[in-house]
Amino acid sequence: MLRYVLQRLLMTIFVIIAAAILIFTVMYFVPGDPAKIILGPEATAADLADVRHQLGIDRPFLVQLGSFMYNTFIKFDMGTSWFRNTSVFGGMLERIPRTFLLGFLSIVLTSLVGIPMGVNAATHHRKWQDKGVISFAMVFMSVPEFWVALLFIIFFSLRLNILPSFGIGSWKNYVLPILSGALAGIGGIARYTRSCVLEVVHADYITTARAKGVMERKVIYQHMLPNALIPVLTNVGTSFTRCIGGTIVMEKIFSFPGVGLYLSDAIASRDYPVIRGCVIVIAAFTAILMLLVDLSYGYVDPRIKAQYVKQSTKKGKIKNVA
Amino acid sequence: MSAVIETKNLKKYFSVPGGVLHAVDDVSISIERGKTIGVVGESGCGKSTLGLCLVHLHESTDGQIFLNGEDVTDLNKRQLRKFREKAQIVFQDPYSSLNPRMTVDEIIREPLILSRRYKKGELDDRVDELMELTGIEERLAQSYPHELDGGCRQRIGIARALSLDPEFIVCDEPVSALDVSIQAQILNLLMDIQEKSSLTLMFVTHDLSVVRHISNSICVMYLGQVVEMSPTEELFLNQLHPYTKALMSAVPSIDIHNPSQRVMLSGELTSPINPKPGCRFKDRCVYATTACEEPQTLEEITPGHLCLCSRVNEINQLV
Repeated sequence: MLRYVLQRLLMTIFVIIAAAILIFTVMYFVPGDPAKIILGPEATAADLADVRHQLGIDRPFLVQLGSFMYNTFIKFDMGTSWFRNTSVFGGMLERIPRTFLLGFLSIVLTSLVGIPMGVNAATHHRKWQDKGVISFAMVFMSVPEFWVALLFIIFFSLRLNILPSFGIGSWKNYVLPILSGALAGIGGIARYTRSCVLEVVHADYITTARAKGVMERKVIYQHMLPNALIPVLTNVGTSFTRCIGGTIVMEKIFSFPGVGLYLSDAIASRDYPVIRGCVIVIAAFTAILMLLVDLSYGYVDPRIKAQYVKQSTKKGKIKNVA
Repeated sequence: MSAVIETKNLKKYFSVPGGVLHAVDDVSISIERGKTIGVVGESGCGKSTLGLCLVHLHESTDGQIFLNGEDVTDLNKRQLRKFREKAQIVFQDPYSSLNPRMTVDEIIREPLILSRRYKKGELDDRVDELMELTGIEERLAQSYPHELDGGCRQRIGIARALSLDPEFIVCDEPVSALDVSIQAQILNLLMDIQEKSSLTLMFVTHDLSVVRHISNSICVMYLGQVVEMSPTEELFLNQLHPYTKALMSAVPSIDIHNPSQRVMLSGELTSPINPKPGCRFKDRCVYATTACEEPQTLEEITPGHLCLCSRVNEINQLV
């Protein structure tokens, strides 16, 4: 078990390094000259060359890549933003908690609402509860998130004037981004849960549980759900990683100063150090979350855990004999 | 002798597209304490449905069920819970009928906890006792069902069914998913347990040699109806209903000098959806006449031997 975790962590390091090289290469070849953006359209050729030299982007590709990798992974220095003149690391440190909180709350809301909806739909298969959940899911999965977000702004901020449409400061700023981001997620999780539960609703061991005299509510929550929810859990885990990287649109619409907005502004202004920093951090988060999801399988599904346990006891026995 | 379980005109109909499916139609049987009744018939004749109705896993449409003379046809939640302690079922498929997330110990323990009959310390003893009784090795207690073979899984199913000392167990083809050597082990296990605790069994199967081995009497079903009922040996010597004759002749004989005379059936199985009154077997029966269009009644032909055929006397030259 420990060996597996270490192996995966080692792989995670390689994933991050690969992501770093990839984003560096992509940004190198993308058209657009940061020097021109910094100095504006009236800059002279000499000034441009000067700025390029300062930024170090006049050096050959491999030299730039080498110094970037050296600074990032040996000195742990992600550099300074070319526009804000603040450290990228500091900027990330300030924004990550906000984005993380946003993603976390939206996943919690999605699961707390979506999973019971899906279970309810499956246990009332083909009745009105089921049809209601399906229609809800269909509507909010088909409608683009940003459009829902704009409608929410019009309704809650402009008409009712009860929730702020941008910025950060109070808990109210979190409500609309979470709500508009979670609706599609709720639909998705509800649909997914429904189909997973439907698979076990008619399983023989459910009849066995009823024959034992288990109460109907317990049949659902103790016999059906633990078996049905394993794939749902993976889905929640992966959608969490999507949240960390994928709130760019939400943060842009609500001017929410998180990692997503940081990244999208940096892309617009060719702020290479910020772009690289954001991508590396998002890649690291994703890799570690996936590792956690994989590890959680063992605790959710005893069949997987049993494999680990058996292996370790076998090894222990062999040692004892020797 | 008093009957442990008894049904009177039990019916189970299902609404399906195209009409009403008569899965169990007018079945009246009674089983005495410590006896085994074998229910045989081809696939889809309603024998499993009958078993499921008897233990309230299906709610019957009409008719009555008695347990120890007490009417248990309609039960509320609490009564149903008490009923489950007395009437249990062993399922056909030992692979899918055990929750893959529960260990052997947990599967057997759950009904004990639910009954609240045992104290904490007694639970472990009772689980051990059940595992010993059903021949599950103690070291397997913390295993999950998928790690075990079919025979062992069916032993778990039996241990679970026995856990609260039921009086009556429906065995719904408990050995059809197992290979022959393990079939014998499981059958002998059931018979041993029956001997020890005077358990009453209903044995649903389509395997005639199994029924002969285990049951005291046999009930032959065809399209939801009981067509013949008799003590086991009597039925193997002397079949009255044309369907039973055909069924029995289908058992392969190992005597090459005296091969059994096959009664071949022609025609298709009549649909169990909206069946016409009258004999349901008449379309495939070589003896069928217009008399078979009339509704049939189950009559006692010789003592203890019942048959649902208005022409039984002519067919068997009994008069």
